[in-house]
Amino acid sequence: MLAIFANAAPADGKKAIEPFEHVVDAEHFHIFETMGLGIHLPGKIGQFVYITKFPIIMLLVAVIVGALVLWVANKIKSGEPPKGRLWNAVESLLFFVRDKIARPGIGVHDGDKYLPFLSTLFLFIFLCNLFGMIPFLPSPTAHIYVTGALALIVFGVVHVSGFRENGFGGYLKTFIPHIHLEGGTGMKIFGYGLQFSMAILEYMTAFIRVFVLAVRLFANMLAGHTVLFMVLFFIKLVADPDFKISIAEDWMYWPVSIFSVILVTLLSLLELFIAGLQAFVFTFLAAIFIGLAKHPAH
Amino acid sequence: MRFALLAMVAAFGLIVARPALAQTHAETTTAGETHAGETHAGEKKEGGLSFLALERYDLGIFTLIVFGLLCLILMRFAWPKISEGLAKREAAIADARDEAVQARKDSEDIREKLKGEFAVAQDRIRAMMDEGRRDADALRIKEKEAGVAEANAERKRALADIETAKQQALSEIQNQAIQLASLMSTKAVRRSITAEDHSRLLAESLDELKKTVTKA
Repeated sequence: MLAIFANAAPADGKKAIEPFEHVVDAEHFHIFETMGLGIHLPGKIGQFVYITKFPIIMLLVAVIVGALVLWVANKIKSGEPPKGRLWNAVESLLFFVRDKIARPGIGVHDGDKYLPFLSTLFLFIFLCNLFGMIPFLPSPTAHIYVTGALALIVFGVVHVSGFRENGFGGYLKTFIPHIHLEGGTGMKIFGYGLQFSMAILEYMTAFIRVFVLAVRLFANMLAGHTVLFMVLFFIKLVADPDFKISIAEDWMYWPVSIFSVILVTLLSLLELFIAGLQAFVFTFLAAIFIGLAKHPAH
Repeated sequence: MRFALLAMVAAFGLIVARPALAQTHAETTTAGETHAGETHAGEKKEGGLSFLALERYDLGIFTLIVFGLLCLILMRFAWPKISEGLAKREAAIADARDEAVQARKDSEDIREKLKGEFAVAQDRIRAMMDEGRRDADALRIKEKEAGVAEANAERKRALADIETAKQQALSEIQNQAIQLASLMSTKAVRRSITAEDHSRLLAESLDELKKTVTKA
C-alpha cells in the first residue's frame, strides 16, 4: 500500500498511483480516461517553449481578466451606477480589493495608487485557482514557479515602493532596529551586536516573506486538488484491478463510490472557498508588505 | 428536483464506470504496457519531489510575462477609465447629497413657515369662533327681549280690548236700564201705580233686564 503511493513501481505488479498527475502541468487534458477522451498538446517546442496545460490556462485567465476589467472600465467610465449581474460582480470584486485589501493594508491615499496592481493580482490568482475547480482542468497556481513569479513581482513592487518613499539609504536603514542599551562599553558592544544580528534577520525576512507567500499559495492549491483526487481514487482502489488493494471486496464498490462522490462534492465546496481565501491572503499580504515598506514601523 | 437529477447522473456515472474500469484493465493487460512511468511534457519521472517539476522554470518566466503584460494593459487602458468613472460617480453622489441636504433644508423652512401660518390660522379661527359665540349670545338676548316686549304689547292690547268690551257692555247695560226706566215711566204715566203695580213693574223690568243681559 505504501509502495504504490511512492511513485515507484509496486512489488505486486500493480500500477503506481500518481496522486499529482492531474494537478501538475502536463501536455494532456485528460477527459474521461477510461473512454479515451482527451486533448493532446504539443508539449516542448524548441529549447525553452512549452505548450502545456498551465501556460494555456494562464493565458486564458489573463484574457478573461483583461476582457472583464476593460469591459467594466468602459461601463464605469459613464459614471452610471452598475447594472446587471456581471457588471455588479466584477465591480464588487474590484471594490472588495480596494476596501478590504488595498486601503486597510497600505492606507486610503496610497492604497488607491496600488489598486490597479493589487486588483489585477487578486483577479489573476482567483481565476487561476478557480480553473482548478473545473473538471479536467488544473490550477496553474499549483506550481511553485507560477506562485514564485507572482511573489517575485510582489517583491519588486514592495521594495521599489520602499526605495521611492524613503530613498535608497533611508529604506535600507528601516531594516535596522533601534536598540538603546544603557551601561558601559560592554553593554554598548552587546547592543551593537544585537542590532547587527537583528538587521541581518530583517534583511533575510524581506526575502523569506515573499518565499513564504509563494509556498503558501502553491502548497494550498496543490494539496487541495490532490486531496480531491485521492478521495475519488478510493473508487479505483476497490474496483480497478490495476490498483485494487488486497482487502477490497466487490461489494465495496457502491458504498465507497457513494462516500467518495459525496465527500468530493463537499470538499469541492471547501476548495471553492479556499480558492478565494488564498487569493485574498496573497494579495492582502502583498498590500501589507507594500504598506510596511512605504511606512516602516521603525 | 435538481438534486434528484444530479443524483441520477452520479448514479449513472457510477454504473457506467464499473465495467469501464475492468475494461481498461483488460486492455492494459492485453497490450502488456503500462503508463505508470509516463512523462509530463516528455520527461521521465524520478519520484520524490518530481511533482514540483523544478525543471519547468519556463512557467515562472511565462507567468512574469503574462502577468506583467496584463498589469500594463489594464493600467494603461482600464484604470484611467475606472478612475474617471469613479470620479464622475463620486461627483454625482456628492451633488445628489448636496441636493438632498438643500431639499431637506427647504422642506424644513416650508414646514416652519406652514407651522407659523397654521398657528395664525388657529388663532384666527379661535377669534372667529369667539366672535360668533358672542354674536349668537347677543342675538339670543335681543330676540328674547323682543319676544318679551311683543308679548307684553299683546297682553296690553288684549287687556285694552277686554276693557273696551267691558266698557261697551256697561254702556249697553246702562242704555238698556235707561230704556227700561223710560218704559216704566211711560207706563206709570198712563195710570196710577199701586203698590202691586209697582212690584209688578219692577219684576217685569228685572226680567227684561235679565233677558237683555243674557242676549248680550
